Amino acid sequence: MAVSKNSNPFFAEEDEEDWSFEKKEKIQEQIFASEDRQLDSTMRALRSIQESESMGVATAEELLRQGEQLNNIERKTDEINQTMTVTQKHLNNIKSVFGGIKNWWGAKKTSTAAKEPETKPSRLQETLEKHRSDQPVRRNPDTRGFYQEDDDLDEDFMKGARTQQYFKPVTHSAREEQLNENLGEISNGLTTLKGLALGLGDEIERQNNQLDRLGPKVGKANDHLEHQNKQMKTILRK
Amino acid sequence: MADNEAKGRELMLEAEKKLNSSKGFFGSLFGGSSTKVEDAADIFVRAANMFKMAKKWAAAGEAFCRAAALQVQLGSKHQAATEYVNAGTCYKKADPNEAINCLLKAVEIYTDMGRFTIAAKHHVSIAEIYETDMVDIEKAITSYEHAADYYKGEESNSSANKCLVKVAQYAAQLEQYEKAISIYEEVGMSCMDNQLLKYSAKDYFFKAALCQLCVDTLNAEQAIQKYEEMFPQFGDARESKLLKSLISAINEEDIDKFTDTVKDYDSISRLDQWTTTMLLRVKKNISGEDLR
Repeated sequence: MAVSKNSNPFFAEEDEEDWSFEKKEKIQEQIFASEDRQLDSTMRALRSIQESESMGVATAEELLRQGEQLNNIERKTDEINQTMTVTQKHLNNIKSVFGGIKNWWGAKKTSTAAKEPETKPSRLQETLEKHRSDQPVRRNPDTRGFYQEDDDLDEDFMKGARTQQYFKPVTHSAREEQLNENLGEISNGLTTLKGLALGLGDEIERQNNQLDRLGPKVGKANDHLEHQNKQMKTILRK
Repeated sequence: MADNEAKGRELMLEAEKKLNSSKGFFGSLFGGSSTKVEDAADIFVRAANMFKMAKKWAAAGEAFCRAAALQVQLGSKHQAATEYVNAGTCYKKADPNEAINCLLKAVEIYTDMGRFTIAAKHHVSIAEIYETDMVDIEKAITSYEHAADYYKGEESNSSANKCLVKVAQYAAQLEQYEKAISIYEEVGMSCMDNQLLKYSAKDYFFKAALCQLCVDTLNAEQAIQKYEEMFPQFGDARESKLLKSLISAINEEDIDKFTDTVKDYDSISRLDQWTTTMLLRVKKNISGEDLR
């Protein structure tokens, strides 16, 4: 019933079959080519996700190191400020007799180091826990035990039960299966990236807050230093 | 800039003169010798800066060293250590050996004062010089180990981990697999709990398992199981799939399958130099077994 555009009276049945067969082949080729392209693009996507992940991981490590250094800075600046108050007292002593008496009478103000406010369970932790409960199939080890108990289920069914079908299969070829798998991996990769990004964001926020606290502290230390330097200069010149 | 060089030399001579004059009887008598030495040290530093501008690194390094020695005499350790570090930086571009000497002296002074974090940082610089300029991997490993110890002492765990990972990398390169394995496992386990670091934990377990493979396949299998129990995400990762297929390829002594699996993995995430070297060693082991 193929509509033959060929009005050649000598066009035999065989030829028509051949011709439609050729057409079918061509379309088949196109389908294959398109499937190949799809597969390629998923591979590329996987590659870039991989790259992003490794960069994210490296960034996370760097950030944590920086965080530690910032903690050190905060601690030491607090120490500096405390030492400064002691040196100021000594200077008062040196400056004048009255300065010394002022020290005896002055109430001992022990400076309490400003403790970092207790961080509420970070947003990341909450996100992670939600993520875990949302997707029991992927990462929760408990469900693995669940699958293992059903010994009578054969491999294929278990595989099917684990992986979701991401799109309506058209040709049911092996490549489509591969495509499906790849899409699954892309989804996993993106989840990881999201977790990473959230974590990085949290850490950066924490460090920003820390820097905001540090700014005035360091400024105070600087001011003390300058002030005391001047005092010492005047004393030495005397 | 010959101009700066000439100025530098002038300043060096001036500083020498100051030093010599301070040794004179009258200099020490008039209680000014320490200021003379201080001045000399200052002038040395200025000379060194002039040399730096003229890009005469060796001369600059030398000038900084002399300034540092004078500071040690004066008892001002901080200054001395800073000058030694400056000297080290200058010598890095000219004479790596001298650079290492200066940096070591600086590290000595810092550890004396109890400033371990800075000492650790300089150990890392020393290790880097060994790595790049002198390619003496053994000494680089020792320096990184020192640095990691000091960082651990100061509770800077991520810096310590960074150094330890480098130690493990070089140890594996030198075929000290036991050491590499234990370090990678330790670092991996400490990373597991941290929110951000757990993404790199699987990487460390992968490296540890790879080292196990170079030693013995059975060990590697047990190790992989152990890691999966400790850290379920490791089992999900593509790395663990790669490892499992590699092990099966080794057990079947099938080199082609081995190469294919590696190529597959490489098509998605590039393998770096270290991993490629280790995989080649494992491959050689397979062919070695074949010959027997």
